[in-house]
Amino acid sequence: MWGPLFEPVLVFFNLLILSYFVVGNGVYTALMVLSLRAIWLHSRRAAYQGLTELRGSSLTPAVTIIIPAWNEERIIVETVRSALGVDYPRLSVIVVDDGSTDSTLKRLATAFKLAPAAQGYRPALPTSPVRSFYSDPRIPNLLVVHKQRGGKPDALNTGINLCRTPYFCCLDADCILERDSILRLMDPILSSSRETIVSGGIVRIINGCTGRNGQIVKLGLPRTPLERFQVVEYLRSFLTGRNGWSLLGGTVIVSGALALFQRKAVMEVGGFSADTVTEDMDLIITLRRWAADSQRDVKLAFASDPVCWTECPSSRAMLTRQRRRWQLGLCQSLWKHRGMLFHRRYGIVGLFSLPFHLYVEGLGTLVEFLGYLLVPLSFFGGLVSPALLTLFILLGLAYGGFLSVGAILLEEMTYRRYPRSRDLLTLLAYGMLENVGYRQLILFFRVQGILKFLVGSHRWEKVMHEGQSLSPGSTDFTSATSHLSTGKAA
Amino acid sequence: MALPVPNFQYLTSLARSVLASVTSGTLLLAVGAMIQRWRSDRFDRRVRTLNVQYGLTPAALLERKYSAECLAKLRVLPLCNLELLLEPLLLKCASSLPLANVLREICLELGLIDVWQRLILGQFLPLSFRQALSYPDGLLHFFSHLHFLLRARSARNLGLLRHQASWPILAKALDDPHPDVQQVALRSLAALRQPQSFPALLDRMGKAAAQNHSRLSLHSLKAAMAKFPLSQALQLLPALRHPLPQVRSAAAEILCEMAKREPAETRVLFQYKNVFDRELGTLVRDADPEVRAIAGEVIAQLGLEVSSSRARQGFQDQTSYGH
Repeated sequence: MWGPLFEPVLVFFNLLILSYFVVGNGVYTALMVLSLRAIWLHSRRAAYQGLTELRGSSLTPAVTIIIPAWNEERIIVETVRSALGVDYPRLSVIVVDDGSTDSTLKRLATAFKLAPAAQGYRPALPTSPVRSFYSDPRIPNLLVVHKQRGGKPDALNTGINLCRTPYFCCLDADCILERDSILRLMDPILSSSRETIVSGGIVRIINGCTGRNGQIVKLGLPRTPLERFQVVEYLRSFLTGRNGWSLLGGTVIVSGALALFQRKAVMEVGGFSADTVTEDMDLIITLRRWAADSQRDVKLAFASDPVCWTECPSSRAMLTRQRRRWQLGLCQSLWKHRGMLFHRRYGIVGLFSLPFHLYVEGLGTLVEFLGYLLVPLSFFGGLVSPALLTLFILLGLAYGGFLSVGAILLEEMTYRRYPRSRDLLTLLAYGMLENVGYRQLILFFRVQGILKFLVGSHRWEKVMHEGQSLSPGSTDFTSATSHLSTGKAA
Repeated sequence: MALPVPNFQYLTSLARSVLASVTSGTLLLAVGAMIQRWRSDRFDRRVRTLNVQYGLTPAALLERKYSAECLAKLRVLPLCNLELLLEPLLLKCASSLPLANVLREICLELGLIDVWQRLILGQFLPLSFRQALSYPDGLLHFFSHLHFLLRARSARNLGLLRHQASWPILAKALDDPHPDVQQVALRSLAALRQPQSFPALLDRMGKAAAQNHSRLSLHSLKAAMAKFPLSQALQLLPALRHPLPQVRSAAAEILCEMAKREPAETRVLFQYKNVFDRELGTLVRDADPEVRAIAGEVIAQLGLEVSSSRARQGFQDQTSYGH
């Protein structure tokens, strides 16, 4: 039926899809098996983890939490309250208001009774100009900086310039930290005999949970299917993917929503770069590159128990923006660091991790997308038998379910955050169904991200949270009675 | 060159078998998750029942409201249930010395201290498969490569209970093949603050600084040694003269933390004033800026009279000033 030119193309493409399927799922299965063992061991080790000693020791290094904020009036007070409420011996919080046009700064000033303050500023990392500083002597560990708009990396660099502690933690303005998260992030740094420059934790979805005074008090699943699918997706991504890569020493992504960095190392690589729209991934790869180039024996740690809760998009429009940006950032980072690909000097990152991300997460997106178009064509052209086509589709769906259900089992064996059995059954159902519709939707958004990369777009798409999961808090920091409501539908 | 045309029949049968495996694997995982939930719920219920049955609450223990009859009942409980019952209480001991004292007596009575000491030394108890199944970590006994979890937990328990007589075993555990056990033993030794164990830690500090891949981190050693009483400060003198700057700065930091914690005890060191004056005076002029910076802080903490020229030199040092 097909011409002599088109037929080999289709055959080649079918083989490409097959290899994508085998490589992607094979590696993810291996990562799941690795994570299963590691997370199980980690949960057993928690019984003798020395958090009490860390908390009580005056030698525990001081940490600064840097919160970049741009037009975050709705949630910023709760986020800062949660950061100030973190259980850590020596902690400072720097909020960098990146030229917000809404009342972010006003809300902060009212909630924490801030007044203009004099503060020296030495821009060791170049940033856009700083306009003013605000503080309150009653909360000496809180500093708010108001600066000219320069983007998230610029705001983070401003925070780093002001940071006087050996470690800093980046926290997105729409996130709530668990009380012991910084202690848990610091533990692998201090207990390792190797110099550890980054420690990452996991991000969970807050939609459907209830909180008070910047802390989660009741856990629950969100109401809408879109948000529930994201809960499963986050579990799989963090418990299986990132944990597995960390075990292999191939981490290239540590969520910027919750990560602890050694200030000295970040300063040496020039801080966060505005070259990509995913500055966290870019920084991690840059640090990897710097460590290999300068032959520094440093470690990047990942732990699955420091938790930060974030609000996921509850509408399709916002989810589109988020995923488009993530895919654009991935492509930009891979392109920027293309010199590391297949380079022996960069070890497992150069030889395995980055090529995998390029093939499966980058190009694979296009392969999968075209697969949805070309495989039916092959079928109509007689290149694929009906039985094989049906089996292949079923296999694709089943494998996605297998990986998601595996991640839920991991969660159940270890942290068991969702206490109700009904929640577990719901998660399992969503895990099995994730590949029917949701995956295709996400794939469509990711293809848009690739197209944006190909046309050279560099626009940061802000995700406005509509779910009202995090309502504005009380104005009194010390006796706050605000709460994080139970989600849009609640 | 023509592309290979796939063999449909072979691919179909392969896909069919993979699909069958994946589907059954998914179902197995889902069932596994549900069983895990059921087991955890049952385990929680069992712990609650045991607590109600034996009334071993922190309040009851602190008021010594446990009877000989209760102890007799506990004595016949299998080890697995005993550990389940005591685990939440043990965790509370970290912040309550009186509770640790009472619980230590009970654990001694029940022979648990002996069991934990033997576990650290690698002498594992024979456990039937049935017993092992009823205990969350019971199956670990059958996997020798996971025994480190039991050794580490035993080391933790001895530290939490501040069982002073266990220090030689814990000091021995610093050489355990598994880093986790070493780390926990170190923390337990810090909790015991036994002066005799201090030289062992000092020795490890030198090794940790010299070897890039030492199992114990320099920070862990520093944090543990800083918990010892200031009376151990004299033993730090050789470390203040160590050829490696990391050891010198670590020793100075430890000294500083000891002095901060026990400011009233600094007078104990006055009889060795000249020795400290000389050593710290040398550190003020150290080649390493970090060492110089910390030396200044130690002098301030100890309230020693380092000769004025040396002190001036220290104050003119930018690093020291910044510190």
